[in-house]
Amino acid sequence: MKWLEPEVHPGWAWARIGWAVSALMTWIPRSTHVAETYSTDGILVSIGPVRLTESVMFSPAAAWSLYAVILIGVVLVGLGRAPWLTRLGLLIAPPAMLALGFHEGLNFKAYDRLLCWEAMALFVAPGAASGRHEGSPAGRYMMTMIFMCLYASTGWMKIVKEPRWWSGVPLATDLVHRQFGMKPLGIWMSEQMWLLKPMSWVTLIFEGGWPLLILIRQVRPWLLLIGASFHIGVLALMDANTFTFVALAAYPVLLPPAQFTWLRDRAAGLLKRQ
Amino acid sequence: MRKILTTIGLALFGLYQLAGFVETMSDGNGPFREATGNYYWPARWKMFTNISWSHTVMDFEGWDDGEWVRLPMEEWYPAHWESGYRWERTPVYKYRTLQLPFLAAACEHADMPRVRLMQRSWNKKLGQREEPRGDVREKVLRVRECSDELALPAGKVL
Repeated sequence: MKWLEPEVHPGWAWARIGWAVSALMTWIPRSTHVAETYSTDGILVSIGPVRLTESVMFSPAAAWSLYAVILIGVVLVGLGRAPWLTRLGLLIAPPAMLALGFHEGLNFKAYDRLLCWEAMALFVAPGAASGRHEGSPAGRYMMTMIFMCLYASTGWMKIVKEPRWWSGVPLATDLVHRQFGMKPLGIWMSEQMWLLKPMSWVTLIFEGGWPLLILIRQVRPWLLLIGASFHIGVLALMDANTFTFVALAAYPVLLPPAQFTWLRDRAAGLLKRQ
Repeated sequence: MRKILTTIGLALFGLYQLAGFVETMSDGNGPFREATGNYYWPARWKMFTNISWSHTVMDFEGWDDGEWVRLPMEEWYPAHWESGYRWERTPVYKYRTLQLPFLAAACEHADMPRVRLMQRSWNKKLGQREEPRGDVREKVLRVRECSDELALPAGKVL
């Protein structure tokens, strides 16, 4: 079982810090409406696959306490002082995120779920994702499987359910979506079909092909560079909140250690030359 | 032994993710759900799939002195996300049972005999930020008498 040989992967430290930063970026802005959205003060509906509010509804104090648990847990993960402290953070923050998320069933976002999935992979990573400890690569495989499912699902849904994606038109309408779009560059781009068509093709091929392409060693770094550009593009053109940051946080460990260090050193060399 | 357990764990994890993919493609009614139940939603991802040619807003209105007036729900319930206010989520358009709690909440603040939820939509124009609301299509989604009581989750009554 050579594929399960222990490894040291410095990318885990990047992924851990990236996860903590993106989790804080997601949750700190929610401080303005904790009581309204997560407690008896404002909960109006019970919806979603886990209808927690049908059995328990948090008081404002309980909602604030859980919110504090999230922030403490995330900070523990970000600091990474000791593996046991990081694991403690990863044990307490995601359940608290889920508990509050289930209370606001209408808004359980993709990036909230992705944060929880990534936390599982960080938890099993060597030395709780210290980046220095040697250990099983299982966490890296988990992270890869999470993204295989994510990209394959969103890509093949577009290919199968909305074939007009190949024309660039759905992307154009998304860019002027009242909530998710309306960024200045996106508004301008919504009329530039000569740009939107190739962008749509890249999106479909990237997302739909990701689960297979990531398995090809020579393609992997380039695939992730395209992925990074794709997510940065989403950030520039659309309002998907922190999805870009949550997704990119995992990228360092989607490469095996040797490829990660090669890419990191190459990027550092390029930066030095400039 | 440890490697065997790790392999089994990874295989189960992969199977769950695969089930999430299959369920996404089956719109949540695929073979895994049928066999075991609705346990795969955390691994279902659907983003920006459908084409949408129109903008839609949800307006709450109250019956005041013989006419419908707009109610400032966004002031009473200011929390919103990149997807808009809570009542602007697609399930609220689709399911009448979800419209009731929002109407009851509007009643609580409005002090009016009845309130209604309006869906207004108009065509998108590419390349434009401010869309003139020309040719607005209006639909009354639901009217509610404020004298009726409504039990909310966990026993709260509006």
